[in-house]
Amino acid sequence: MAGLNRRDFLRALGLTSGTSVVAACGFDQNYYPTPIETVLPYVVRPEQIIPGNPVFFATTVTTGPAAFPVLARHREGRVVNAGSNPQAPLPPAIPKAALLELQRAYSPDRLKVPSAGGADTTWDDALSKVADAVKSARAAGKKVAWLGGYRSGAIVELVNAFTNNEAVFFEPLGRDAEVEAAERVFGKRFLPAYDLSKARHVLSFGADFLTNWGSVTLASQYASARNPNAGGFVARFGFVGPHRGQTGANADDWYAATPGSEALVALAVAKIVASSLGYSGPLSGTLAAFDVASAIAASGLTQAQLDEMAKLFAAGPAVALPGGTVGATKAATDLATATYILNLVGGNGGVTFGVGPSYSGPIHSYARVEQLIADMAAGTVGVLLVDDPSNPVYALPAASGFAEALAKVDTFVSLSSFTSETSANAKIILPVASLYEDWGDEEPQDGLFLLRQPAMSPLYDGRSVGDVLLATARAAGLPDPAAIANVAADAGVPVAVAPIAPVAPVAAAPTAIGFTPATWLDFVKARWQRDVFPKSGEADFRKFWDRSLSLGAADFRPALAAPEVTATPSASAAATFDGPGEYYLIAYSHAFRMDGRYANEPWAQEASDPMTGQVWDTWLEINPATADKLGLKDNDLVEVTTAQGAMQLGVERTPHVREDAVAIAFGNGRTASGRYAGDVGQNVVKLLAAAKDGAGCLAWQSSKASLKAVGARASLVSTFGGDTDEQRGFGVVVDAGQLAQYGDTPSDKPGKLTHLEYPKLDKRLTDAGINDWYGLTEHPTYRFGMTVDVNACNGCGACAIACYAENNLPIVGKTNVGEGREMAWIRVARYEADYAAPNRPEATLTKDVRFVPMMCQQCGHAPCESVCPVLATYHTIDGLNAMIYNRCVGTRYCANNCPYGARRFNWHTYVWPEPFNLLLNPDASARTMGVMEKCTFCVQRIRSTKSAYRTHSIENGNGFIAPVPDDALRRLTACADACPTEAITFGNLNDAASKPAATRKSARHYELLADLNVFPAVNYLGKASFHPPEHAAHGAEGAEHAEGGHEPAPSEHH
Amino acid sequence: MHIVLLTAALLGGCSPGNAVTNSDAFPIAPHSLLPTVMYGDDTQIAAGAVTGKAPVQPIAFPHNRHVQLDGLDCQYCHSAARNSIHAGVPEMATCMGCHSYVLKESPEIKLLTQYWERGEPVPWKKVNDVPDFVYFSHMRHVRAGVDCLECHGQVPAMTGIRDNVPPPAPRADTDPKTWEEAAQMYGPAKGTMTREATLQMGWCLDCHAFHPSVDTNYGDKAELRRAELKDCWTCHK
Repeated sequence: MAGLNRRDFLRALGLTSGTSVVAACGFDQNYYPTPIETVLPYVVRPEQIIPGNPVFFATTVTTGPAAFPVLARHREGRVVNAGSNPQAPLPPAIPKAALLELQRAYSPDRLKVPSAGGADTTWDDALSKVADAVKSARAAGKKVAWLGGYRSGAIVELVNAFTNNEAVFFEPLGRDAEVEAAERVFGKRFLPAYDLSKARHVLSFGADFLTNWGSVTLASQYASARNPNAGGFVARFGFVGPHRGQTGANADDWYAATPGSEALVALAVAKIVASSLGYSGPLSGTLAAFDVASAIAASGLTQAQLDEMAKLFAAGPAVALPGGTVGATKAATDLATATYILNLVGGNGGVTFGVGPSYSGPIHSYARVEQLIADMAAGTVGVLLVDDPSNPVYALPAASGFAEALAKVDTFVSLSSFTSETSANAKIILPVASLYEDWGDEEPQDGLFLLRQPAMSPLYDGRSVGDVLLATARAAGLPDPAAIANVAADAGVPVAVAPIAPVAPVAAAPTAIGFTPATWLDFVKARWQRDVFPKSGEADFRKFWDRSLSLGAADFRPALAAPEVTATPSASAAATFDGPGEYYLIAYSHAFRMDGRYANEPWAQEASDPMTGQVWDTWLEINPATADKLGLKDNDLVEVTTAQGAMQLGVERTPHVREDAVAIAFGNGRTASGRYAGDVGQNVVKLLAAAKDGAGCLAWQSSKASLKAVGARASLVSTFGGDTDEQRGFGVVVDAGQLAQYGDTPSDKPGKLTHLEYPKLDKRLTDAGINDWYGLTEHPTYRFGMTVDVNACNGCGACAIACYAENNLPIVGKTNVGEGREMAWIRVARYEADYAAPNRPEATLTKDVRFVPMMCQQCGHAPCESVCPVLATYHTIDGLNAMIYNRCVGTRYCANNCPYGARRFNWHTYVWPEPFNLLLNPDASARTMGVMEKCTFCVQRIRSTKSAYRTHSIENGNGFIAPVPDDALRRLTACADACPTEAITFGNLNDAASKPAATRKSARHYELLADLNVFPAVNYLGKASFHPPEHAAHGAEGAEHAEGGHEPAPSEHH
Repeated sequence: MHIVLLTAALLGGCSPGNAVTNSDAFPIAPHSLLPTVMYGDDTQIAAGAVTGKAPVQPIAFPHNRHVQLDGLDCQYCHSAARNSIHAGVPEMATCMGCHSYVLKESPEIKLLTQYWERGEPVPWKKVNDVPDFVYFSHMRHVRAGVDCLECHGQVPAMTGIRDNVPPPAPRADTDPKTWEEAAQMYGPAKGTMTREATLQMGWCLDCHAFHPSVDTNYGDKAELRRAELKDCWTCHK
């Protein structure tokens, strides 16, 4: 070996081992040392596709009434990611559902073929069986019923025609109470529209509008109302409810009223607002009959707190939102009614609240489901179709009797492509196409029409629900509603069913489309031609359709208007909680798993819960004071018992729940599901009663529970290290009042905000006259950087999931996360600080929460770089900390030396189970064991964007030097693109017009651990707080007293 | 020798079938000390690229005839090279655009036509290939004015030959239907494409550091561009 240098030695090692691998794998070692790949050309290349280039399709994802336009990113026949659609008439964002639905489409648990009677069969056979069942049900005078989640657009018409209006559109964590209340007050069934961007005071009665309540647009609007530079004000957010989840944690003021009393609180505030504004409208009668003292008695809030709420509400555009946990008590409809009253007496009708761009799709209350269950139990339902992702056997309380009634249905047809508690009972399972393989349309607001188009061919032979219904209806010979409508119009003279005329807008009276369209696409087109096209005033439907399809949307929304009050509702009483226990049991919708529909999506399990950091489990949130009383520590096992059942859960101590309440998230404890949701957590529904409110809405929040320490430990795993930033200045707040008054441009004048003072250099170095150990790297073209606006971040976690999708992050599972081996490149840290809440009954402390997205800070002086023995990580000319995976030898020095904990080590080589591997992003590597990895600022996107601009410049004769403009960089990274609130903005720090560069001049600007002298490229902007620690905004003079804010120059180094 | 024994011992098994399954995580592959990229059918070893690789192709496609006799430009068939990271093996419709009329009785064209009529792609073998952790963009090189031949070698001289090719004749039932049959009857198709460059990192860097097109294209910014071109993240992904 003498004379062999290190490089040659390594090369020899590589070659010889390469040869032996080939031999071991069965390749001909006498041939070539690398395996020979086969490359298959297209036989006939699809017109739009150039191999290697992505194609984007505008499409629409749906979660209840929150349908949202996205761009599906298509590469060589499959959708590999979803991005925001900048052409759509809504603020750009990627709803978490868009990504979770994408992972769902590629789930290895997806059913591939239909089954009938438990045996796999063909589509033809399954559909003819359904048609026969429908035919015989009709012949026997039995109902053909439908049970599914909220749907809008063409599918509603088809389903109603198919079932002869026996369709129930219901979601267990739905918004039926709001619709019932609208009918009560306004005489119409609709979901009111809200415009949060104008609201200076947002008062949420339990509504988790930043989590799962309503569209992700609400988060955009709220962020805009919080942005001091957008409207010259900072909206104040009051949250009324017993438990602060991710939405409630954003609140400036938490009013923890006694559970069940919230409707009274809303009425009391409305009454005080009405008297201060001199309101004398149609709702005066309701308020006159109401006694504020009853609200004080029932809620435990003080008169001063109610006055404070009312004062803020009366002061300016404000909005009250009902929903979430508070919106599902036995006074759910009363609460919604009370918030409508509050909004109207506050003069917000048509400003922040009203009709117009509201939602008019069918939303049925639980009473309608009960009626269906009764029909099923009575044997009058011949065919029941259950739509994906509805899962009533899992999601409804056992007392509803759904499971028993299901057995009495002659033919239960599941339209789910997954095994679930419900579909396991199905006689026929039709695995329908995923959202990304299907046609369809949505109307999330009246006048806003969104189109869905297939962004890839079906992975298996999944068919549209629409096609299934059309084919079945024709095969079963169902009476065509189009024929019926025409018969009625022509006074008894039968007319042959006419297909929709291909020219000229259809006249005003809508005619039913019926079952004549050959395909579901034809049906959607016919519906658009009838309902949408006439609004455009254009002449050529084909052009209109093509343009709408490419944009993904057609927008004819009316302006927001005040709804007309048609009835004076009576005042309500407090809702009760029943059961033997002493604790109110609060069950809330989980940020990722929602009502359990996404429990089998690994991203929804592995992404850490925004408030607790918990993964892969169900836990019990309990106030530390109560926990102390019961002797419970974090992760202790506790038995929760209600009148309905009992279960053992691990304890998560949190101050964000009342002392007399405990909170559990919905969404786990699936008993029949795929491989990922199986045996994960518990189903809180088992503890809940099937109670209803006065209007027939399901009252989840109506049970009391008792707690008993089990004396054992649970196995909860949280990715959070603690609740505070240990005064290291990660989550910095500034005074919202000053911000609203002066904006965040710093100034020396008294009273105005100055630059946050935070130590830029280690004091020991500056004292010694050393400003820098090394010279800074020069960045002649780009210095890529990022701005993270902590004021805009609401902790939703969409960025984390988008990063999983973009960068091929593996799912490591609970055990590995517990060992600190999670692979998330971006984590949304939650930091808390105490503040003394004014006007509290006793001087209790509550918490001010900041969500701080943390990723690699791409330091200018990166501590990771200098310790790498093989130069696998280094500083690029663009200012990035490069990480070259196949150079890395896995010493992990870099991770040990990273002050931000941004680096992740591959302890194993994870294999993407088929067909998850099809979801891998071909532009990024999939890393293997022994390699360090971290956030790259999505370098693959930087690379392709630079390339696109260079090509464009060359083609236009402008030469090879083509700087990428700021517009193309702002939402470039996956996290920035997913963010609905522009909390994450990417850009070039060398470009003064970019947000990251401009941010550095903001008075809210701070850097994380700036005193380490690592020159991070990520800028943070402080959160506007109405309870800032004393002098927090003033910089230097306040630094010594900062609580959880920035800290003074430390004498000791980190 | 010691090295070979050592690595052979460490590499007990590398068939992809014996993955460990977790209930909540993605399965973990058996441990291996070699850096491999595991996805698709392309388990590639970083250090294996050699020149002279000329695998048997399904059809004896003669690059020389298309380029020299017919005067076709590379991008007539490899049309994505200007617009994509991939140059693109031409779609079958491109071949048939001419060969529906031209040389219909040639044994190779008859074989091609059989695939076309079945709607099957011809399974070409990849010759010039880089590992999956490499980002290589044909578009950038073509647009910069790098000649195809600089990397791909003397493709215009590459022939497609077989040992026992019969003369042109009308189609018959006895014609081979697949490339495997053709290889048995006519002998393996050789010479279509040979890798002339190593495509290894040092070879790439030689151009990234010294190629004259950088001066032509970037003028006084050429040094800056060279610095960018030498950055690891220009090619590694």
